[in-house]
This record gives sequence, structure tokens and C-alpha cells, in this order.
Amino acid sequence: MELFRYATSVYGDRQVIGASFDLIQYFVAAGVAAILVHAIFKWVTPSNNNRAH
Amino acid sequence: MSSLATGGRVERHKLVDRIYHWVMAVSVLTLLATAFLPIMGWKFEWLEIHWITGLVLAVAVIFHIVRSLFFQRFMNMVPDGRDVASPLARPGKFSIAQKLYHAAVAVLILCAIGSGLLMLRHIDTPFWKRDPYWFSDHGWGVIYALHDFAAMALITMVMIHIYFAIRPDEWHLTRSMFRGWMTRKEYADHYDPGRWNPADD
Repeated sequence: MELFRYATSVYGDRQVIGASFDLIQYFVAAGVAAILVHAIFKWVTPSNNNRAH
Repeated sequence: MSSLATGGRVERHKLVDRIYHWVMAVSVLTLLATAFLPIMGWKFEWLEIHWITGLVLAVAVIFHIVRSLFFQRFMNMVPDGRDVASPLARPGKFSIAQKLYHAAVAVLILCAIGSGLLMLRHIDTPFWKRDPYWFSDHGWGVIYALHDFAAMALITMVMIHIYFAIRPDEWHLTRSMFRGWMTRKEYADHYDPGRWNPADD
């Protein structure tokens, strides 16, 4: 898995040109994971108005 | 409208703040769509929509910063000792989770806007011609990488935000972002009046 996108300059150097868009799937997965963890937590714990929302 | 509205309602968000929120929401969704749909194979002329929307977002965020610093209670959004000591107790206007979420989004949005404004020098617009020599190739690469990482992280944050907005136990917050108010019962059930007095907003 690459973190960055690269291009080759006119001098033959490997240059970073941005972040790898292959990472999008991991950011989406992180969102899904956060949502699932919270949803499961709220599902297994009783509601309580004294807690912060 | 006063902060303590009539009819058993408590004002949470003034109209100007709701307009800001929705301008920001539409802008961010438009920016994410014009950034990532072409990468996913949807080909369209995205660049002009993207940079113009980015400027709209930048102006909106500058407005929000000025308003929050000089016309609102800035400390409402800053974690305090009681947030840390009792994170599950009834909060003030915003919970510790909301404050931390806001801080994370603020960093990402400012990073995206800052790098995006610099990237405007890399494109032709009706107002200026591109100047790719402002930075070295390596410098441009770092700027583009920052922009890309901030944008991808914002996908995660937007997903989480929409999830909380549609949760039934958070509808009073979602409604307040549309209509400005919550009921007195919702206020009494969810908030510590000693930490958030709407009349002081």
C-alpha cells in the first residue's frame, strides 16, 4: 500500500505529487467502524438522560 | 428572537449560524463530490465547480471564525476541566465529544482550505494565470498531499456527522440546526443549566 502518488520529473527523480487515493477505502472503513462501535455501544447500554449526548 | 424563545422552546442556534452551517455542509459535500467522483470514474468538468466552491467555503469559515471569536461564547466549544473530570455528566452547550469532533474538523478544514488556496496558483482562472513556479516540485507535492489527506479524512468525519444527525436520540440537535430551537424538556433532560444558559448566548 502506497501512502503517496509519485511522478518522475524531467530529471528522472521520483517526486511526490499527492496522497495515494487508494487510501480512500481505509478512511471510509474508519468511518464505518466508528459508526458501528458507537451503535453497538448504544444498543447494549441502557439509555440515560444524565449522560452527555 | 431572544435566546429563550416563546412556546416552551429554547433557542440553540441563531439563524445566521444555521445558514453558516448549511452553507458549509453544501460546500463540503460539493467539494468531496467534485474531488472524488472523477477519481471513481464519473467524468465531468469538476475543477471549476471545485475551486469556486472552495472559495465559498473559505469565506464562510472566515465569517465563522470572526463570529465565534467576537460575537459568540468561544469557550462554549473549548474543552474545560469539567469535561475532562466528568465526560459523561450533563454538558454545557456542547459535549466533550462534540468539542473534540469540532476541533478535528476545524484542523482538517483549515488544512484543506490553506492548501487549496495555495493550489489556486496552479490553475488558470478568469482572475489569474497559473504560476507553477511559486514552489518547487517537492513543495507542490507536499501541498497536494496535505490537501488529499485532509479531504480523505473529511470523508470519515462527514460519515460520522451524518450518522449522529440521523440517530433518533439526537433528533433534538438535528432539529435545532434546521429550526433553531429545542424544547424546554429537551434542554432540561440533556443539559446542565449551570454550564449553558441560553439567555447568555
